[in-house]
Amino acid sequence: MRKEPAKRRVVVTGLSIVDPIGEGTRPFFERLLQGFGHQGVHQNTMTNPFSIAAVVCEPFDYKSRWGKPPHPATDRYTQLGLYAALEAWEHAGLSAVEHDPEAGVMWGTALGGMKAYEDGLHRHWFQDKARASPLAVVQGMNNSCASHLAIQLGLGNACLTYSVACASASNAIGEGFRRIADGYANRMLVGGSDAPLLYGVIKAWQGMRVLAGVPDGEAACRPFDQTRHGLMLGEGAAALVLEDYDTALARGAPILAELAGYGVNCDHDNLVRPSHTGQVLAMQAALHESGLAPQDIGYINAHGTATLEGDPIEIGAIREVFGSLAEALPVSATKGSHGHMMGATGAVEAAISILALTQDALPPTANLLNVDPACEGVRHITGQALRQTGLKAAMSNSFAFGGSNAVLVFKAI
Amino acid sequence: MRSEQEVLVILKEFLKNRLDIETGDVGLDTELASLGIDSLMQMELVFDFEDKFGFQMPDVQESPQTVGGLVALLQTHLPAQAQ
Repeated sequence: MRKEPAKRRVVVTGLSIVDPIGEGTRPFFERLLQGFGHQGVHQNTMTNPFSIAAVVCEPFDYKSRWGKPPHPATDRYTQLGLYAALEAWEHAGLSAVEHDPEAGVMWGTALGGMKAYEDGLHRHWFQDKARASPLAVVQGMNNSCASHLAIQLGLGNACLTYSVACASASNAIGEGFRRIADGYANRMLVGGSDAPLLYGVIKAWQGMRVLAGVPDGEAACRPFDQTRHGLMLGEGAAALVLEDYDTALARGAPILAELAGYGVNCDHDNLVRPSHTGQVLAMQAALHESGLAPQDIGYINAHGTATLEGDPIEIGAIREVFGSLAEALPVSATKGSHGHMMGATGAVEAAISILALTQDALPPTANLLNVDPACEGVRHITGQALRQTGLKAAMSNSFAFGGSNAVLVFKAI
Repeated sequence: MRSEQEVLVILKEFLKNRLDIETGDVGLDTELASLGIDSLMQMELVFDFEDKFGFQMPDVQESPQTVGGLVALLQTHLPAQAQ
């Protein structure tokens, strides 16, 4: 469905990604540009120990960066989110206030809070304890992270959490964009976090047979490659600060990019099979709202999870939207570098797209050695980054189980 | 029943270890709110006590306002000997 152009311009004034290696947003992006393929392993010891290929934020330490968490009812997904969001807020030159009715938070998570329930079950089944922690309810509610952010920073506008599987954070960013564009808020803290490396979650994904195996020295996640064999779970978070353009200008904020378009729809077709048509319509809607033409897009950060079925469908959809331009359009999927962080992934990839714009440097698809013929038809970025391409606009795709599609278009400013 | 002082020492350990609260100046008259302890944190502290000492408090309790009030509540229900 086509939308009228947004009423107010929305810009990004702050950004942060939780770096799984713990060095920070910029080093994280530098590693991406070098084609870094993550080869982490998660060892689960809930019952009989087992390992999976996964991106684990091993050095993550909230306390060393921000002091003790604001409340004991902050589990790992919330602390990951707080870390990224507070850093993005600081990056935007903002600080906590008593009450700002013009600023709010929109957060994405697919599995936030699940750990509280798994911990409770562990107590009951393995420790023979009758009661769960009294904090389990507020740790387990999946608006926990958003609520902590609003309390921490004094955000009095809307505080909403979007749980839309793999598109959660992209939807949170897009809906935050709408809220500012339509005049309901001046500033929104948006992003997502997830910590899905839990026994029940991993077993569920293994049951579906779409997880990449343990690497054994080989790259686990290989989007678009002939040898791809599934997705790599990860934990993480990223956050953006979105502002009304005039508000940002008036306070002299650092403006990183403009968020110009958001395409959101549902395939209403199948729970897990991606829809070519749904993806095409979402990309077209985002382009239309941005006021850009297909030739203006110089980079697509693809959803590209490295599943056998999903990758070719996305490339096919890109080819339809971009037509004869597709062959020369740089595309990469960065999940080989940071994993699939479920509800957080869209925020990480949106942040990567913005960094690509600000540095005019396009990260490659890590571990992509031989493009699957079924995924041909675009300019796959392999090996090293593409630099100095004159990038003016970038698109970030998120396509979720359940048939929800979310596409964001960022413009250089 | 354990002495007031004995329970206070245990409580201060919990405040330090579980909630990362500095306990140097904490006494019986200290307001729990002044330590940043809300009703949820109180429940979590009691829960930790139950876990460590193997007892169970009745569900309905009036929330104490001071460290001394919490100590008195715990004194009533704590087993005499550590388990």
